[in-house]
Amino acid sequence: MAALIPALPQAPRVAGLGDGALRQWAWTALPVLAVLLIWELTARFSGVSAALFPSLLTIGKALGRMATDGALFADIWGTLSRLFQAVFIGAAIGTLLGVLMGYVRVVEHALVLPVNFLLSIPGTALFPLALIWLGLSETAIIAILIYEVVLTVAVTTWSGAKSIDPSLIRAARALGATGSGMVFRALIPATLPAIITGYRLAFSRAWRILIIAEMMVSVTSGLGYRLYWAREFFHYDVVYAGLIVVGVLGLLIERVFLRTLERATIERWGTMRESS
Amino acid sequence: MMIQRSAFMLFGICAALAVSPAAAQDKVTVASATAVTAVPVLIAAEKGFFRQEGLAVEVKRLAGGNETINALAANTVEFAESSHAQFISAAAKGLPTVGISLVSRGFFGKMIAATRHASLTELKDYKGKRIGIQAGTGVYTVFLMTLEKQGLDAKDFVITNMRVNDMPAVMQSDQIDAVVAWEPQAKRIVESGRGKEVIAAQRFEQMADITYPFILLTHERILKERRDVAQRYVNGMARAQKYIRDNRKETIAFYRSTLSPDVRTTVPDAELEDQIYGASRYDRVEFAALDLADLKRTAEFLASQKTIDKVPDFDRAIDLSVGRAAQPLTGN
Repeated sequence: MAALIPALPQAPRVAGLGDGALRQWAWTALPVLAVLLIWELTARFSGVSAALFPSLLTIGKALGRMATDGALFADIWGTLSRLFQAVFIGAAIGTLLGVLMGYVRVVEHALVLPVNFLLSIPGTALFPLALIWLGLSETAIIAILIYEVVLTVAVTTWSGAKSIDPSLIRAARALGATGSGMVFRALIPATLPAIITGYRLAFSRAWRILIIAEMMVSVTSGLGYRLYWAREFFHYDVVYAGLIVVGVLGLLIERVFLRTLERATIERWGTMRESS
Repeated sequence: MMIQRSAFMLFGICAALAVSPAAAQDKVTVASATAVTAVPVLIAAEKGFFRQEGLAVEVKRLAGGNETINALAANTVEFAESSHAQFISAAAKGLPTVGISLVSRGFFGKMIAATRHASLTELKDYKGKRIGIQAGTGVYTVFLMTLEKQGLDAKDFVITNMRVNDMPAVMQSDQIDAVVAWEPQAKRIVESGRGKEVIAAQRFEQMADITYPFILLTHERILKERRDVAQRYVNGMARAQKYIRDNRKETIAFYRSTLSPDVRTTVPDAELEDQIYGASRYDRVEFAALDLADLKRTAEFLASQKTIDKVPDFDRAIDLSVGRAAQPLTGN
């Protein structure tokens, strides 16, 4: 019976734009659109001063002005260069520390207490000391960020190394892996998911602290500085525009940079795959 | 029995009369900065000048003028105090706030140089040097105005944004050449041996040609719906100004009691006197022509710097009548 019913012509399917992809895109976009709609309605009809709660158009115009006069790009450059300097240095030190803590018992015993102690002190609480030791400079901000990144990466790497299945190590040994071969071909790939998780966490923590730091400590460019300056002079359109840029950049770092890093490392070696 | 009932009734009436003034008091909240500029409002609250006007005033101490104005614009307080630059910025942005009187007058920012630069007493001497200042404040605006009057430019210096609270710590690091601070941080730097006052507040005032009015603001809604409350509040402030002028010793003693315990017990009277009376004057609640001219000049400067989009409409942003009506109570 079924064979008698002629098959309906299938709509041509474009890769990535099928029903499923469209539905997923719609589910992602809907909350954003809802927030934007609520925002616009509140701005227009709540009676709150437009200066305090500007419309989307006003915020967009502010963003356009910042882009046209070049301040936006100078700020983005200022913030990102601080972030990447700190994260690269911090991640290198933190990874080394975490691997050593994970695989060398003496180092673990020596460092577990100080690392946990320092981990409970937020970097922002060290700003007053950083000002005295390093002066009110870029160095103070970068040093605090490195501190945060080192600790975050070290702890996640360490816990990743500790949670490796002993049978994996036994299997590597059985296959003849020893010394550096064991470290680079078995231990580090097995720890990689934890290391990359550590990088993601470190980026996100460093990003948040950096924005606060730029608001608190003396710099003359940077997204945090722009927020501070705009708030001081009641330019709330610039404040909201700046916050959008902070959010979008944070998202891009997470979804583009770190996701690419993850693909290039973990997924390539088949240890993990994220659904998205 | 009859006598007993009458006695109870009489007692009831007396009790009602006794509590009625308190019950009739209008409750208002004022946002004031955690600085010596709060002395008039604290005195008015402490010495009962607001109570005399039928007001129960709660004073909220916030970090700075920006926060006080935000609190006012968001309708969480009825009054706010701020520097002239922040008042102008708020007015230029069209915030629903109105300046109704002066709290005090007089610039209080001073330049403290690292001891190695103690001999450099002119702004031009600091060309190319690193100067710390809290951006966005009235002091910052006056500093920039002073530079302009002196034929200098901000680009001639390495101007570093820092909170005034951080300045004593920063000066310890020896990596900054001078800061433009105010009290009590300025004194703390000098006392620590890390800095010396090289340009006094009064000299800045003369160089920038300003009166530096510190302004009391209220919400437009208050002026429309509870104008009498605004008037009574400013009356209380006017009495406080007179008290501060006439009772130096008591004012200093009271101000000391408001400080944190570690400072309260160590700071000498002369220093507190300098903080309260050194730069600020408590002689007017009414905006004088000089103050209005200063506001206009500062607004034009801020607009020229593109810090504000336009010079605000001061006819809308200032209500002169409240301060004018209260001025006789200052005794000046």
